[in-house]
Amino acid sequence: MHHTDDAAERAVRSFAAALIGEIAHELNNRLATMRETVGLLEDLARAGKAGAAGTARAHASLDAQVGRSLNIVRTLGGLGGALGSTGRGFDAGAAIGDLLAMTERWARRTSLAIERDIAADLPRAAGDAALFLCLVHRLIHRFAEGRQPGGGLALRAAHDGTGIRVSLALKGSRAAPGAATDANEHEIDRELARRLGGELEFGGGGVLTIKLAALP
Amino acid sequence: MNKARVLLVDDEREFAEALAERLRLRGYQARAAFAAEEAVAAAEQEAPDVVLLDLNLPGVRGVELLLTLRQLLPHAEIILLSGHLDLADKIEGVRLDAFGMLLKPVELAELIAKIEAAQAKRTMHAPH
Repeated sequence: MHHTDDAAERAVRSFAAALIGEIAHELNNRLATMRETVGLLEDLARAGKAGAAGTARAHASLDAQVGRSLNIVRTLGGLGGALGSTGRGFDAGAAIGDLLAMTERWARRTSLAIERDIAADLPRAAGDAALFLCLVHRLIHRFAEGRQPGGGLALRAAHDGTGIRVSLALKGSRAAPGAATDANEHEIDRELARRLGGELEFGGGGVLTIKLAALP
Repeated sequence: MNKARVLLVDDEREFAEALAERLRLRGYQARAAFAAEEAVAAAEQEAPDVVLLDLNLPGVRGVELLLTLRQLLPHAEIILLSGHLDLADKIEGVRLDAFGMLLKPVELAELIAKIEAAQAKRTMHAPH
C-alpha cells in the first residue's frame, strides 16, 4: 500500500510540474511576442520605415497578447482558488474549465479535440481539488495516448442526484482508454479517486467515470 | 564571414514574423515557418545555415522534427528556442547535438550572438 501512496504523491507533484510548465510556456510566448512586436516598431522607426498601417497592426497585436495574458492570469486565479479551498469543497465544473484552458496548447499540439458538456447547476464537490485535477489531467493524457489517429475526447460533468459524475469518453475511435496502460497506473488513478472520497468506474465502450461526493 | 541564412520554426506566427523581420533589418536572410511541413519544405528549398526551432509545434513530436532537420541539413546548426524546455527536451537537445537552447523571451542581442557563434562554428567545420 505504501508503494501506491508514494506513487500517488509523485503523480500529484508531476501534475503540478506539468501545469506550471504549461503556464510558463504560454506566458513566455506572450511576453516574447510583445517584446518582438515592440522591438520591430522601434527598428522600423529608427530606419524611417514606420508607417501608420504597421503601427496599427503592432498595436492590435500587443492588445491581443495582453488580452491572452490576462486570460491566463484569470485562469490561474481560478485554479488558485480551487486548490486553496481544502475542506470547503470545490466547483468541479470551473476547475475542469480552468484545467482545459491551461492545457489548451498541449491539446492543440497533440491534435486532441476535447468536447465538453459541463452542467451549469453542479453542487460543490467534496474533496481536494488538487487530487481531482491531477486525476482528470492523467486521464486526459491517457485518452490522448490510447486513441486512434483523429480520435477526440468527450468530457461531461453532471449531477446525478446524490453526487457528481465526471465522465471521459473517446470519440471517433474504437480504442479503449488505457488499454495499453499497466496495472500500476490504474491503481494510482484509483488511489487518487479514493483520496478524493470518490471512486473511479471503468465502464464499457471506452468510458471512464469519476464519481465525486457533493457537499450538502 | 557571411551573414547566416536563418530559418525560424515556430507556430507563434506573430512572434516569428516580427523576429524574422528584425533579423532581416540587420542583414540576415531570415524566413519564418509556422508548421512542421512548412519547415521541412523551407529546409529543402533554402538550405539555411542556422535553424531556430520551437519543439512544441502542433501535430508533431518536436524531437522528430529536430531529427528530420538534422538529416536534411547536416551542416546547419540548430538552436532550440522555446517558451519552456523541460528536462526531456534538454536531454534530447543535447543528444541530437543542438547548438544551443534559449528560453523565450530572449534579448535580441543574445540571440544574434548565438546565431553568430553557430555560423562561426558552421563555417569552421563546413566542407571546403
